[in-house]
Amino acid sequence: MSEREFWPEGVERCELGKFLAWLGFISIFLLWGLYGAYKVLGTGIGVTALDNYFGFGLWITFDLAVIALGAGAFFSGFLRYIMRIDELKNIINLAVIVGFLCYSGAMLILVLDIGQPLRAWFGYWHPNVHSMLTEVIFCITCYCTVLIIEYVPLILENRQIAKNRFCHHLAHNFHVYMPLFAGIGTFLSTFHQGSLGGMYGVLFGRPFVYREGFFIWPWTFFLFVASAIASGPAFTMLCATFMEWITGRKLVSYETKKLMGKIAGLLLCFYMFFKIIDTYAWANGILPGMGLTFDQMYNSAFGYGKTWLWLELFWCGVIPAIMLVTPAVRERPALLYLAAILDCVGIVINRFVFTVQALAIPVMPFDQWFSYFPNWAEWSTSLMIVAYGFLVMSLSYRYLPIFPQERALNR
Amino acid sequence: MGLDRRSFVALVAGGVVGSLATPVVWKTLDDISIWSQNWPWIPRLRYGEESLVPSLCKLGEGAYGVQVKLVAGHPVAAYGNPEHPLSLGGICPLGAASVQLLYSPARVKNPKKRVNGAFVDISWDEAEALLAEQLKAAGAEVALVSGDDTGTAAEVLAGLVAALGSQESYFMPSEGAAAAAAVGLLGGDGLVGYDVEGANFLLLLGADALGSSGTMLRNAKAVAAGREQGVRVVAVGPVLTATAAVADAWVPCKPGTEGMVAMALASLIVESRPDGKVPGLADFRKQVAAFAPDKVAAATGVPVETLRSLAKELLSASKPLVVPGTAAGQGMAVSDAAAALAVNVLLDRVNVPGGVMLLPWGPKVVAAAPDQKTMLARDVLGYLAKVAAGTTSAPKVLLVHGANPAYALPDLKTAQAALAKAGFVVALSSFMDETAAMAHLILPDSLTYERYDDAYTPYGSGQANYTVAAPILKQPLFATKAAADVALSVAARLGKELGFASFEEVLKAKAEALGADFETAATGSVWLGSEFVPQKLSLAKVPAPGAPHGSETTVVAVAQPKIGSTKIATPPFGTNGISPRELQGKDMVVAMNKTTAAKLGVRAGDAVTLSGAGGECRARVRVFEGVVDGAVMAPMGLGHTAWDAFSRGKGANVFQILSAQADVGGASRFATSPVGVRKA
Amino acid sequence: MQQMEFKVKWGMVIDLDKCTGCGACSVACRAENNIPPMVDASNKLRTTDWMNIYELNNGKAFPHFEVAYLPRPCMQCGKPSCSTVCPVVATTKDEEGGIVSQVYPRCIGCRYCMAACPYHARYFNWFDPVWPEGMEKTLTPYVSARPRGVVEKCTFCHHRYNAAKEQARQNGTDPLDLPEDAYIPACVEACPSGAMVFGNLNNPEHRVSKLAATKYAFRLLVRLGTDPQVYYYSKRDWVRQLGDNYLQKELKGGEHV
Repeated sequence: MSEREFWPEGVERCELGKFLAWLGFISIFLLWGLYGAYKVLGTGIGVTALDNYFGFGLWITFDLAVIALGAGAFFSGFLRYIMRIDELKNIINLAVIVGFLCYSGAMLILVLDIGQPLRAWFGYWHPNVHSMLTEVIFCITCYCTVLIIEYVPLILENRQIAKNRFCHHLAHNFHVYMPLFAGIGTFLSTFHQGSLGGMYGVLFGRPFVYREGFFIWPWTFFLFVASAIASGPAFTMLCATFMEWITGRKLVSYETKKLMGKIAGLLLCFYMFFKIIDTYAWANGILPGMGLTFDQMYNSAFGYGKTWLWLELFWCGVIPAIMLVTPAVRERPALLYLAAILDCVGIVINRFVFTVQALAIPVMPFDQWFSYFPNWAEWSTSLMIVAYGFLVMSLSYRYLPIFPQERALNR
Repeated sequence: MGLDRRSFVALVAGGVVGSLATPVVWKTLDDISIWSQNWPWIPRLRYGEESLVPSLCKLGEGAYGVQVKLVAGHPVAAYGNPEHPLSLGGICPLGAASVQLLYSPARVKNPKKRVNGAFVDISWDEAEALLAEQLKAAGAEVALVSGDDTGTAAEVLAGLVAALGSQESYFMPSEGAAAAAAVGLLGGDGLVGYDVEGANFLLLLGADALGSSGTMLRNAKAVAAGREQGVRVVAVGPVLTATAAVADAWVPCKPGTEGMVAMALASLIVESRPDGKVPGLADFRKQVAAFAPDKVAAATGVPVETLRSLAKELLSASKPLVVPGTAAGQGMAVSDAAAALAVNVLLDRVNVPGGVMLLPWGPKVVAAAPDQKTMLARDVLGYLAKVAAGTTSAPKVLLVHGANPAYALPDLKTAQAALAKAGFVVALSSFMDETAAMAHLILPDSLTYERYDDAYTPYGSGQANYTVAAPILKQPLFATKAAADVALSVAARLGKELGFASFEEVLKAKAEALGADFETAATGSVWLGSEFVPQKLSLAKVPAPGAPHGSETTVVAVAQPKIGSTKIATPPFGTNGISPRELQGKDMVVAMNKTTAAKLGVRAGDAVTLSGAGGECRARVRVFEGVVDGAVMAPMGLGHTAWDAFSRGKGANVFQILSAQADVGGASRFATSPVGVRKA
Repeated sequence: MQQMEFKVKWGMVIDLDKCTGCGACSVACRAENNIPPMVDASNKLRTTDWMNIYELNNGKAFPHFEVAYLPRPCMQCGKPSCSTVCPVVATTKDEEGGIVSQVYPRCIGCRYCMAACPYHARYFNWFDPVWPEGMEKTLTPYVSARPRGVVEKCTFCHHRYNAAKEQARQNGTDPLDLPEDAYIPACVEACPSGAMVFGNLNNPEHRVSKLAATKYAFRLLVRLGTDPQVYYYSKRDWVRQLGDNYLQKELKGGEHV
């Protein structure tokens, strides 16, 4: 049996040697990251550039960013299975895999990031129900399980595996229950996206992130949900485009991409509207109440200038929001992609400033600003997760029928 | 094989429930939580009966009582001793780190001799035989440098040296010695103390009395208590010391001009009391005429109004007390101390409550030894300078005890050259300090907690006191031996009996000489003397005080017990206390104010080279407004080259750039000295 | 979360007009609580100092310049920002006395509490602790050695509180009504400057509650709502002003200080 027979039916893939060389290239990053992980787990998190001021750094930023960008999975699932937007079936498989990679990758990073990974399950055994992080632990682990359940039938659809009757039936059954899982996923994911925002919003000792809110949820709870669903679809669409660029094959119709862009655009408008109001209220309400000024929150000498704010809210916020809701822009692929990239970058900046800048700002009047820059141990392990994503995605693309339109588009 | 919906659900649910029903999952989780708190490489605690045992801390410049917590007989922590008059429950950072110092990696664990440049471990018998042989060969060409100016161990060692026919026994420089010398200049005699508790206006002329100088713990307690009763503290000096930080006022003066300030105050006091009846006043009037407030103001940088108001405060306070000193806790000019004492004399503040207390010298029990007064008056700097220059013959055997002259003396290269010229250097040191590292023989001294130790009336004490510390540990932790016992044993080998079989017996004799009960003293009860030496002080021969250095920039060395002392490098528990204000990375940090920095063309963070008369060192600039114009404040206690990783290679040793300048009667001052600053 | 009320509220008043910044409290704390020594402690963002000492200054130029030293233990906040966020209940404020606990075998090392604490009172074990050979014999029997990967902080020497309560029970007195000085932490005991006073803030007879009630007492960052149990004391306006953040216009009136 040749390797070709594992490919999805009726599609072309590159020759095996080339594919293996590609996997070899990915493995360089995987191995470097594994070495970093070995050092971290073997000797302690002290090998990173994290410290007692920056207890959160690249890893948490990375986690929050990929979880936001991975929101394409739950939100596309929600629209496809719950709201019945049928067009999305063309990209839903990709969204699921991207989501799975983002969430499983985030969990791998968390294994490194928490000081006692052997005790990670304490979140279930000794939960503090008042902590937003408990909710995050619950939801992320549960949702990761849901994503696995959503991913498994895709694997079972491999041409050879599907020949097995049991696997075939199993896959079929999974598919039947998919709307249920999509529903559970939507609930879990909405909650933990929100809880991640809530995690910061409740920190009343950190003026940069503290927010008032609704009932037990600070405004950041809702803003994080909104920003995640505003960037997730854009990211999924960009992933498809990126794969097309690498493979040289058409995978998703431009119509579907435009739809994803439109969804992202509408949500980004919604998000930016409230984010700007929130920022204004924070600068004029919360900060003065704490005896602080807006200017005190920024310090370009340490790398935390207002440039970040402009980038986040204007260049990567308002601008892509306008672009994505403008039909003429969506018609032009280059502009659509650019807007989607800006959208994603804006959300990443948001997660970065909430994670790192929040900790850099001195709160005690006699304290100082400090800078943080991640070191090799953090970069290598983060890149390892990216490489892991590339690896799984490459294998999935080669052997699983992810893109329903691929045959037709490449005819 | 088919799989319908029902069996699918059953498969998934059954799988999950089934695995949870087995003990595997739960047992594993339980084990994990146990493992993760019992890793074999994390040390376990040792439990047992707890007790508190009194002892002494002599790691800094003074000595005070501590209490050591024992758990199952092992020391675990040191606390202040509320019963001890010089601790009053307080402890210094070195004392707080003293128990852990027992296990310092820098400890010398057995005698060592140098063979072809490297140390070789030897037995105590061999070591003492070697020392006896060297001493025999040296005849009277033997010398001693000791840092233990409150303990009887130095007396035993000086007794041995004297028995061998040498008078070359010295203490390391100290404020106490300079203060006592000043008393001598005014015709008095005795150890110098201050009744800080009794004073209600404390004028500190340079003394960092709450931070590093004298009986600092007791001073701090007294000032804290006095604050609530309206006691005022004014600190005069070139830098904002720990004391100045909490004083009611800091009066900045140019480095080395505290004596001039005292003379200006004296002139104002004399002026306001034309009918004063102090012996020698007529001569003193002539002397202070040269220190009119306006002239002094120009030379010291202290405004005339400030001088006048200080004089007024001194005159109006019912119990004023003037305490001289330096931020370095040593290197004070005798003339400056004399000027401060003159102010106290003018105000009739000697041997009165709240005044300067002149206390009896410690009794001598080793017949052959020089007495305390003689020892304290000898000038180690002058001796070593002459040895280095070749004008005095180098000792064939140099005993160094409880001191680190290869690190902690001004004109360091000269001191090191003198040590290098000595034929055979014997370090009676507990640690591999810089002196031990260059010695020919190391006879490791036990630490106080492992042996007998004592302290008689440390400098600054308000009344005479004597503390005996019995060994806390039954055995020294390593193959170490009390230096005094080594001296007695070697004296016996040489047939020069000193009259005692053991150090314990010497201490018994000392207690007896003081009229103290040894047994009670050894269980922590401090002997207190109520005697003051009657004095007839005269102001006839008050010398002119130290003048400003005349250099564009002057280094001001600042002692901070948290970094270490002249005896002890930063202990393992001390590294965290060193702040970026003192050490950044591997660089010593020196502070200067904006004006000085601008004048020198340097900015905060710049690397600079400091050059003194005797050498150079590297530092980084900190801009700090708590330093007078033209002064460069440098932390002491850094820049060790021996010891262990906790102190070695961190910053620079400020003694490299401190140089001694001649003062009255052959004495010298070195707490501040001229320095050049250039960008590195 | 609702703020718990306690009958006994241990607190500290630190007189910044007396503290010389000598560092004895910090070393005493290290010995008492088995914090391992650090060979290189120059990166202050990586050191563990439950009692950390800050240098404050009045910002003026020579010769009007002044400094104050501010020792910073855990504030044992009435409304802790840290314990509420801990996902695994490894740090709580639920025991009579109002001390914020830290349970090392429970902590998973997520460092969320550290991100929450504006006082930087929490420290992470970046590596396993190392004592020079033999020095582990000087560990006190009071606080277990922490492995890497867990967060730790000042507990007001909670073991001393337990010991004092035990002593009271043996003496047949009320362990919830300890006399002044029956329980004081190692730092307060060590302080040579008499700058630190410790006691029950809810007991009007204790010196702490008297000092805390004076107009010279202040706390750090109360505007955030942390309600600390550590008070500072200074007669100097500029020192008290550095206890919290104030807008320019607020300082003109001076009513906050």
